[in-house]
Amino acid sequence: MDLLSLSCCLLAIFLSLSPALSTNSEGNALHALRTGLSDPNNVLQSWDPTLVNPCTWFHITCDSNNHVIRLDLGNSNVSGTLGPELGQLKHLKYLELYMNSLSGEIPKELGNLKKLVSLDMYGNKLEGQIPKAFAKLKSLRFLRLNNNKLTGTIPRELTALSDLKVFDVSNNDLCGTIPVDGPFANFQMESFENNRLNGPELQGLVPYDFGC
Amino acid sequence: MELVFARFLLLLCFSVSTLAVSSSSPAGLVPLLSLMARWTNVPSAISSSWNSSDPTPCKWVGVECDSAGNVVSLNLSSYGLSGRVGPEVGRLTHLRVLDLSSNNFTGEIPQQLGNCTQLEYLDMSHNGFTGEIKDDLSRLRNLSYLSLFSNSLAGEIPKSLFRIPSLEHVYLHSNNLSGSIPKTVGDMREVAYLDLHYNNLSGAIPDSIGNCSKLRELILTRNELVGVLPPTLGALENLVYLDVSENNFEGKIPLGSARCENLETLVLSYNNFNGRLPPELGNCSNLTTLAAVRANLTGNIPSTMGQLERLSFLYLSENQLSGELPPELGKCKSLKSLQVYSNQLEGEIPREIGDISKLKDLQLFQNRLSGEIPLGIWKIPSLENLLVYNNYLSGELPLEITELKNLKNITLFNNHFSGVIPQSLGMNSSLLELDFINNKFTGPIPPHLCWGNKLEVMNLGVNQLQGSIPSDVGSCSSLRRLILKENNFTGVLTDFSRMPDLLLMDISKNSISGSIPSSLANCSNITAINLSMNKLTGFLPLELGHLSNLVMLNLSHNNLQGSLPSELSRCKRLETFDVGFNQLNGSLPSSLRNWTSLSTLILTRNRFDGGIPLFLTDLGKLLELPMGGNLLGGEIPSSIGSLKSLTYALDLSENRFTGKLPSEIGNLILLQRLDISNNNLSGSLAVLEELDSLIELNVSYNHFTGPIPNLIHLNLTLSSFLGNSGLCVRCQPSGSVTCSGSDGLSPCNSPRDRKSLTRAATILIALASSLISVAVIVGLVFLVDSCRRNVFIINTFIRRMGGY
Repeated sequence: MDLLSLSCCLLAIFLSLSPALSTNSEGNALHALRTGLSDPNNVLQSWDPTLVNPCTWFHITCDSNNHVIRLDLGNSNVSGTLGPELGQLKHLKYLELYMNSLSGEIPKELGNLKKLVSLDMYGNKLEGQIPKAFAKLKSLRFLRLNNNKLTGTIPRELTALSDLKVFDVSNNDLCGTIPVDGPFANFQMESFENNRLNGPELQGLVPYDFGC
Repeated sequence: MELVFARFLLLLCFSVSTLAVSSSSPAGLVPLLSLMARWTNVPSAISSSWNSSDPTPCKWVGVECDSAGNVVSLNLSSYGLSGRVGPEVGRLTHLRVLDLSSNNFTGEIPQQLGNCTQLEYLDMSHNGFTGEIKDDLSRLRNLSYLSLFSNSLAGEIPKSLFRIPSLEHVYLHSNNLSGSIPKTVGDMREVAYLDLHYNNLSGAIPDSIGNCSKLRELILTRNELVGVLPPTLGALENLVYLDVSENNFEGKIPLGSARCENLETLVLSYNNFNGRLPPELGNCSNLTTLAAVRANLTGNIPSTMGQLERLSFLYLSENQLSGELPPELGKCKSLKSLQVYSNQLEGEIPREIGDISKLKDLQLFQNRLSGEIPLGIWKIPSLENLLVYNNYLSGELPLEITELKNLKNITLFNNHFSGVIPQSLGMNSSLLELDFINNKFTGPIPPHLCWGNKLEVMNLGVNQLQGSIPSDVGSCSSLRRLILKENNFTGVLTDFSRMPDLLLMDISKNSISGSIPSSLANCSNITAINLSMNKLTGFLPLELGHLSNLVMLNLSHNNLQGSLPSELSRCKRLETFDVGFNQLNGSLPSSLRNWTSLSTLILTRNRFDGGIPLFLTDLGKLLELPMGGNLLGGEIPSSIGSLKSLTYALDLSENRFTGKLPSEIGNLILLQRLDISNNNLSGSLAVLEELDSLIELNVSYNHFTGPIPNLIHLNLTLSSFLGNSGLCVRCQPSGSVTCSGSDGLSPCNSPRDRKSLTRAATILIALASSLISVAVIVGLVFLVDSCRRNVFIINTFIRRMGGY
């Protein structure tokens, strides 16, 4: 066999012999998150993907069934983008990614996190729109997306989130009108300031979100 | 006249000599020099040899000529040359061998190269060539060796290129080539080696590939090829090495039907076949490597695999293979590595697997295997890796396991294994990783698991092991992870000697007694220690402060005493500190302000005294602060408000706090759970209305007064407020609490839905109203003196004032 193809052959064998990534889908999702991030403070150093589950990783909290319920990466000096894999953390309750330098768009797959109670991504450089899929987050109480570069409208669908207690999208580049139904009846104006919003929606009078 | 004639003669001589230079100068010298003119980084070996004043270039480094003095071979491989390859190369028309590989050439491969029609061997590999492979190269009708790999060539492979009938070696791998594999591939009747891997090729493999009857090696790894593997592929009798991995192939695998005795390596991994592994592959009697990892294979592993007596590596992991492992696999006498992990295999591991006497690596984890591991497997002397975790296996470990000299990695976790672990395990082998977590093992830890001093992972947690932790564990200098949690271990913690690699230690949920050894500091790089839920006593050793990399320390649920040593402040990376449920006392040392990374501080149920330490304001990342059940007293300082990051919980319950809630507590706008119950706190709860994120509240058993705060969206029950006789309930639609009147809370008299007045304002109003009323009374008395009828009016007025 040619020397080149021999080395290729050995490579194929080597790849099969190297330690397998865990077959734990939550650990793999978090590992995929890590590969999209730049981490100068090495806060993710303990994230060893060969371990059988991520429950001994720092900044991760699991429940008694070894499912990830908390991801605490607030104020950790990480940058980069978020991929769709975060949506696989089916038991996640607290997603804390605030005060970093995350860029790119918010993955709509986060709408799959049915048990999410708190979603904090404020203080980043996130762009694009607030995903309509957030309307599926039926357990959500806290949604803080303030201080980013988000554009587009506030999806009307979010008025279905009846448990939503705190909603902050201030300091973005959102346009259109502010929903007034459901939980939005209780949010203060400070939650919406410093955008290009046209004020509260005037139901039945003008079409929503004109000029946006 | 002579001058003119002399000049003419001079000119004649000059032109003749030039003519002589060009006609007697061998073909090649000038083109070679022109080529070199476009190069940079020319090493002296070449620049000193390539002398323009030489009569021929035939003695130049890298140059070979034929008897007529024509340049027939140019080999400048690995000289570090940069620059471009100019069109002059096309003037070397006698060239048979051109090797410019392993340099730093850039730019395009010149189309003029097509003029070198004698070329048989062309190697431009390992450079930075860009652009497309030109059609003109198809004029090289004598080319048998074409190597352009490891460049940045783009565009499609020209159809005409594959029409060169003499091609035997075609190496185009590691480029950015796109488009389909040309259908003309079948025209290469002589081709033996076709490497197109690591490109962006798309489309299907042309059926015409079946015409490449001499093909020995076909490598298509990591492209975007699709479709079904052509059945003609299976007819290539000379195929030795076939790798189609990392594509999107689907459908039937057409191999093994024809004579495939020459096939040695077959790699089908990372595709989407959605079908069975063909039993016909059993006919490929010389197969040594069969890999189909994550290829979307379904169905059984064919029993015909047992015919593959030369098979060394069988990798079928990460598929949807079902059924049982065929016992015929026991006939694969050459098998060194059997990996079928992450499938849906069921039934028992056949005892015939024990016949595979050369087996080194057995990876069957993440399946549905049941029954016992056959004894024969424990007797395979070459066994190194036995990874069977995440199955339903049962049975005990036989003594034979202790005789496996080569055993390195044994992972049995999440099964139903039982019995006592043979006590001499580890003494005959250099164990590397041992993970038995979550089984039903009993008896003691074998005392010499780390005998070979190579053990990196010792995980025996979640079993029914007992006895004390052997000293072997504390002297295992290679250890990285130690998990012994959830067993019945007793006795004292072993002393630790130098363990620089140990990162995680979890011995929680046992019955370990004695004190925490100060030698724990010898685990100098440890990041996580969990000794919670034991019976540890004594003081926290101040040597714990040496653990500068410690991130998580959990000593909760023990019987530890004494105070927190100030030296703990040297653990600057600490993020979680949990000493809850102990008998620690004293006040928190102010040096702990160094814990600036701290996010979780749990002091619940101890005997800590003093007040809430002021240094807490330095802990800017604190997310949760459970301090309930201590002897803490004094007032809650206003500095509590600077813990702006507090999110999950602030628990000050069951202490001796007094005084009023500072208004600064309203700064904790992220706080979700607040428990200040069972204290001596007083005053109003109005400030709690500013806690926007509050979802759980307990202020019961204090001396709070005034109305229950208006906390919207809070599912409050009245038990949150019990035991505060001064609290009242605003019975209004806008109030969040319903008034049933029988819960020990009285309704507030005032119908006003307003924050209660501050004390100063109350005093002022009382003073003002009393002054006014005095003045009025004096005035009225005057009137009464004159008119007694008005006494009734005054009495009514005074009674009204009392109710105010």
